[in-house]
Amino acid sequence: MLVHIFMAVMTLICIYTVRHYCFTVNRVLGRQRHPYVDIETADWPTVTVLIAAHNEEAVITDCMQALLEVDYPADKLVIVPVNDRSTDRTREIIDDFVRRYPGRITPFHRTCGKPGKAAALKDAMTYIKGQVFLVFDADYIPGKALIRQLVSPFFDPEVGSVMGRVVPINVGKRLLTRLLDLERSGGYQVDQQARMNLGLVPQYGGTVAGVRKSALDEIGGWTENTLAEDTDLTFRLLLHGWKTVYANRAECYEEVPERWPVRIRQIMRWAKGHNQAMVRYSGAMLRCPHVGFFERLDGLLLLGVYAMAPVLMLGWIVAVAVFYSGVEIGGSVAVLSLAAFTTLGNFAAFYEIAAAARLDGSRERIRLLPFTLLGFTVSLVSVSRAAWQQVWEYVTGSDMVWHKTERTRVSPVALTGRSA
Amino acid sequence: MSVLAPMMLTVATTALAALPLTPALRELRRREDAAPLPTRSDDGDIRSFAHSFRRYIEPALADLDQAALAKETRSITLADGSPALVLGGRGACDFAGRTVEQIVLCAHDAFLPPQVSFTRDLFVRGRLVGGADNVIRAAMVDGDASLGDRTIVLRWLHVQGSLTANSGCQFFGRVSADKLISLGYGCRFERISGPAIIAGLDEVPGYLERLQHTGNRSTIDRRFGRLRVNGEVHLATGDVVQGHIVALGNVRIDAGAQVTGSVKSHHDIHLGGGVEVHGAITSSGRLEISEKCFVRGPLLCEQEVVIGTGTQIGSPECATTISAPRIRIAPGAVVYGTLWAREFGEVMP
Repeated sequence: MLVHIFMAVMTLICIYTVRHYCFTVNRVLGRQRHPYVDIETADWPTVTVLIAAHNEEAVITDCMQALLEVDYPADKLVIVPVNDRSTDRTREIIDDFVRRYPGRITPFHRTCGKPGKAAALKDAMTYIKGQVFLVFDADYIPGKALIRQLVSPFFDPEVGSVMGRVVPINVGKRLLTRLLDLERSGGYQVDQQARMNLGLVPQYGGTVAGVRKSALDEIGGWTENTLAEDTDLTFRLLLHGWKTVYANRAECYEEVPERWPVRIRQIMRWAKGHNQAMVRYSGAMLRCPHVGFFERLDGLLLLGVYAMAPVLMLGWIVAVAVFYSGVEIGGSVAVLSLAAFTTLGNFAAFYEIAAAARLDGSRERIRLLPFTLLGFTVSLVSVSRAAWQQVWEYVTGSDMVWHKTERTRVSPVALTGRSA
Repeated sequence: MSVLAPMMLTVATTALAALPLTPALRELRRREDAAPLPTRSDDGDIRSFAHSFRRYIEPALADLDQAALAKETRSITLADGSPALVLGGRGACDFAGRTVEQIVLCAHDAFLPPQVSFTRDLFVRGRLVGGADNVIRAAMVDGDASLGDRTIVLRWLHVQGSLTANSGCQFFGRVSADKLISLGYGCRFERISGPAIIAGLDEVPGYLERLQHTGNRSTIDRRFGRLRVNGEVHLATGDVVQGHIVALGNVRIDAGAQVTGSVKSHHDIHLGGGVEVHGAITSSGRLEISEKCFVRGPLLCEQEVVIGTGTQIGSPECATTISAPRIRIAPGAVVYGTLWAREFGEVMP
């Protein structure tokens, strides 16, 4: 029995390892797909940009100022800061912008209702008309061409949502921010783009992202009772025959957590939300007629990605038990074990990070790669803890709590004069 | 001795374990690559090189004015030390058969003799009339430009008036004009943008003749959604689809059919003569558009786009983009907006 569990765990880990290898090789050597990046002139649709803001006085000024300067027809761009029950100066800052830029900003101040980004966006969208909605968190700083880059894929009638690339702006602050910078590079530059190249399932990420109104209406709008509305949306769209596309050149700066407790809370929330989606949509993914074989496979693996942390820990425990039980292990199991453990389980993302650093032309930051082991270990423990908490919350029937990620910026950043 | 050996072993093991971390610790301490990755800061305007060049030569424009008044040719040095030739006189430039290795600034019209090569950028304040077989690295023209047969532009060209390229011209990089662009037979291009781009013609035809639609029309009403098909789609002559079409297989639309929305195929798309698509077309395969069609755009294709004669893409009120690795346009086709061929584009000879 122990050997069979061990074998199953090793097989899963090897599948994820191969997946990471495939993505890395594709990104470095394969044909790159950027089908929408060249749209320069077009009859651009009306776009509503939603800025999700809950106590964002430290960062929202940068975001709104940058949005006012983007290169998109002003008469087709509606900026909607969604002030979700803020108790700091967020409302005051937004209203000041409304006064200074008449007709450009349509604020939505929410003073009650269910907490959470999805609930706030759902409320805001009932009052706003438009064909395409873009969503930014308040700490994001869009570049001049970003809106057009994010809107371009919507000329394709099959595209339901689009995801841009997130680039940390506070990289140099601490070891944590540097590790998150590497992690983000691997996740977007390699993982997301490879899935785009291979026609698999790029993930809608909830910010620096867009969604088509008609697609959202077709799937029933935002789901409120989820901690990861982005993963939820990706799979509901997919199950209804809509594609999510990734736009690697639609880059946007964000502020990443600078303290380990904030990071741990963030990744635990992501893990819980993702696991919710896994439980909700795995069965439907297996049965859905719209989804091709490789999309289905990738979708299922994507749904299970956060569940792999407790599985890996289980594998380690079982490995020790198998060793001391004296059970004879067959040759194939030994090979699988070797393959799994030499790559430290699903730490095969290591290759993606290395490839991303090369693609980004980052010559020196790649040297920090050994430290990603630290980030990996913290994530492994946090994600496993989140999974156990989730099981406990399910058993006891308690509600999951939405934790907002703390901001650390204290003044507007200089948007010009950045160096590589 | 008995204590030293395990101590040495411990130190050696620790050193070996720490060795891979040495570059990491060094980078952590020195922070040599700790700035945010640069993101795209430009607005994607095709004219950005031209705007940069104008800013670059701005300080030398006073010299150009003086040379024009004196009707003389001067050699000057630009701010970065690059040599430049300032032509103040009118008439043909005396460059016949030469390779010009300086930046050239012309105060008036420029008439280039055949077989001149410019290895540096060219600025013309008036009209540019090129000879055959010129090679131009990059040029900015304030007036109209007419390029001779087989002219090659290596990096970029921006014309504030109209651009006429005679047959066999090759444009590597960006070409833009603020008015009409006319491409002769056999012209090759990568990225071209202008209010109107016509292939093999001198002017936009007054009205692009449409095929007469005859017979009974079957109408598929999908105004608020998409017609999503797992296989192939075939619209017969005269069919009208009110909405979008998404097909996992090929799409074939026969002569005279209409789609009021957009069309997407995971394989090839073929439009028969006179087909109208009032939205975008996206193809993962090959896109073939027959004669006298109308597509509002944009056109996005992952292999090759072939556009037939008399076809109109975009409109004067609604400029659009055609993007594909390979674009081939028959003479007589008109595109309003941008052509972006990532490998090569050509006007069919």
